[in-house]
Amino acid sequence: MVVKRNLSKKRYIVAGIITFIIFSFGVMLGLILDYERLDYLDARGNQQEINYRSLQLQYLYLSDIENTNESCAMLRAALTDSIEDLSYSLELFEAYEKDTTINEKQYEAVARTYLLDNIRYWIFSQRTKKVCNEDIINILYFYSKDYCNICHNQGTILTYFKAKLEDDILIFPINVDLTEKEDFIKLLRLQYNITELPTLIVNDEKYVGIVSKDELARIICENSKNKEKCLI
Amino acid sequence: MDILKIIIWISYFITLYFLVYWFIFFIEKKDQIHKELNKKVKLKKFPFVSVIIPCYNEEQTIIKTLESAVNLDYPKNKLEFVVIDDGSTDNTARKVKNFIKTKKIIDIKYIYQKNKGKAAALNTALKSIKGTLFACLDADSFVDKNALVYMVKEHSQKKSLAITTPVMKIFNPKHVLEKFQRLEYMAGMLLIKLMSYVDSNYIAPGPFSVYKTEIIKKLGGFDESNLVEDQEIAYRVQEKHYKIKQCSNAFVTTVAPKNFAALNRQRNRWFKGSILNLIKYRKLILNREYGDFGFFQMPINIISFVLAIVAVFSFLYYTVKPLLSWMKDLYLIRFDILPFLFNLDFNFDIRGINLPLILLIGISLVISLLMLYHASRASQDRVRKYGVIYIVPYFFIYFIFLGFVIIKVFFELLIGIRQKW
Repeated sequence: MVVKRNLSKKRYIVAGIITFIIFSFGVMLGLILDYERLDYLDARGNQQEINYRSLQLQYLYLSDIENTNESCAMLRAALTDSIEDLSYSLELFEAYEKDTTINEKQYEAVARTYLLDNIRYWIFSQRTKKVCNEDIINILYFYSKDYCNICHNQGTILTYFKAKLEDDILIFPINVDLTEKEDFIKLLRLQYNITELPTLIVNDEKYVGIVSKDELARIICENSKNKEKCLI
Repeated sequence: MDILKIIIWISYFITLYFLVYWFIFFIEKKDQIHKELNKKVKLKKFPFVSVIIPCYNEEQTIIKTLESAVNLDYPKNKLEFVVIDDGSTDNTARKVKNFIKTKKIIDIKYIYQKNKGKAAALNTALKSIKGTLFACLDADSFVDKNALVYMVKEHSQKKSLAITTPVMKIFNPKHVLEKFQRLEYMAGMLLIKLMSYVDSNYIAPGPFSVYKTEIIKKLGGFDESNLVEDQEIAYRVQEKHYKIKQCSNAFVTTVAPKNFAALNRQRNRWFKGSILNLIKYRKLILNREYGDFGFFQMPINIISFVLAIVAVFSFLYYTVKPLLSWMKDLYLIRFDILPFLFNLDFNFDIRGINLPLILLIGISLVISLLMLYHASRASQDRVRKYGVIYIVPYFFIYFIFLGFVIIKVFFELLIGIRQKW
């Protein structure tokens, strides 16, 4: 029996074209969104830059004159605000980065900027702490997204303490995935001899591996003059 | 971009393609479907029809099934009924015999055989029937009294038509699972209708498919070793270039599995059988000789399995994994979430929304809902009748469940093959 069976090519092609149009529209929307996000991150970055310049000037001015508690408090408040702003930017960045498709280079540049921002705020905070003799805890947090599964857990514990102690604790995350791009990380890793992740530097003391909630509470307590923080 | 992301986006594309395809196909045939649905049919000649009712331990439903069969709107002298008992161990036999006693005027035969499976039961019955057409009516299904006339009419119009299939509905859907299956059958029946137009049907459902006796005998009857003999016969019919049509206005209701264990068993058998049949009839795949069936339907049948597996893995990856990680986080902070509650900030960031994904899911959902709505109209039913809320879990949970069943089936097949070696 020879039978000629139909093949409804036209319908397949029309469906293909419609699907392609919908998909292209989605991809275009994604691209527009991506550029919009990068622009927004850029704008936030510029704002950060101005804030930093203001901080620097305040610091210069304060280190020249006899500094008072009042002026120190002002500087500290400005610094804390800037760091908070930076950490929010980083949060946005991480959410955006997940969806990005083609702008990986630009995102890498943003990541590097944030990294440097974090380092300079850390240096700044260390200095201000000395100059103003403050009871504040600076934590440098080395982590990786690519090579460290448990880092996420350390992140949670740190976020918990940040939420609990608010301005008495400052956390500066350093993403070592950027080591190849950013020499500053190499410098820090060399200085603190970072070989394992996650690693915490709490007031110049190094802690390797996951620091649990109880342990971190003890460390914070030891490093604080105000023993109220030990109550956790 | 990692490999998983690429696989998932390709799956999205393919899923969207299928949805768009079925949708434009439906739009094209919409009027025709409604015309067929409302068509009144008058038969001039009534060919002899044998109704075969295979049963195995079906004391709960057999009488209702028999009642529906003998009430078919068709001349009684042109009908015979063959109840073939596949070795029931419950009261089925007694109930059937009592029923026969009360209906002396009607030609009902009762045949008993040792338990050999449904295909074997049908083949046994096939040897003794007189009908030029025969129907198979599962003993858990109840046929509408007009159904047979419509189906016979189709058969009389086309010589190469081997099987007409009914529109199936779920009997009295009360349990959640039955409601899911009701929606599933609704959508499925519309798709089968569309497949009908391009000769791509690949299932002759157990509840009241009507066959041309001569053709089925020529093809060698039913495959007794097959897990889903009603699909196998359809593939064989397709292979030999005979036709299968769904009859839009022949309705039959069937009892659906009410609990997960039963549904799992049923689907396990269906999916396993489908995979084995796809392997058995692999030469039809992308074969130009088989037109739309070979070029589109066969590949769809394969790709659906792949898509289901991708869906399950992406479900695990995007929901279960974050959920587990979230629980671990909670444990790490010893469930002290108060500081987080005090520090909640409601910075809503519109840029953070994944618009392309939402667009894609939105369009897919709209198309699916539209199709479901029209499917409900085509099966003369209303989506709202048994609760509209079930649509949500139907789309998001039911399919994941089916996906898990499919993965288990693949696993069992692989293990099975190893054991054979």
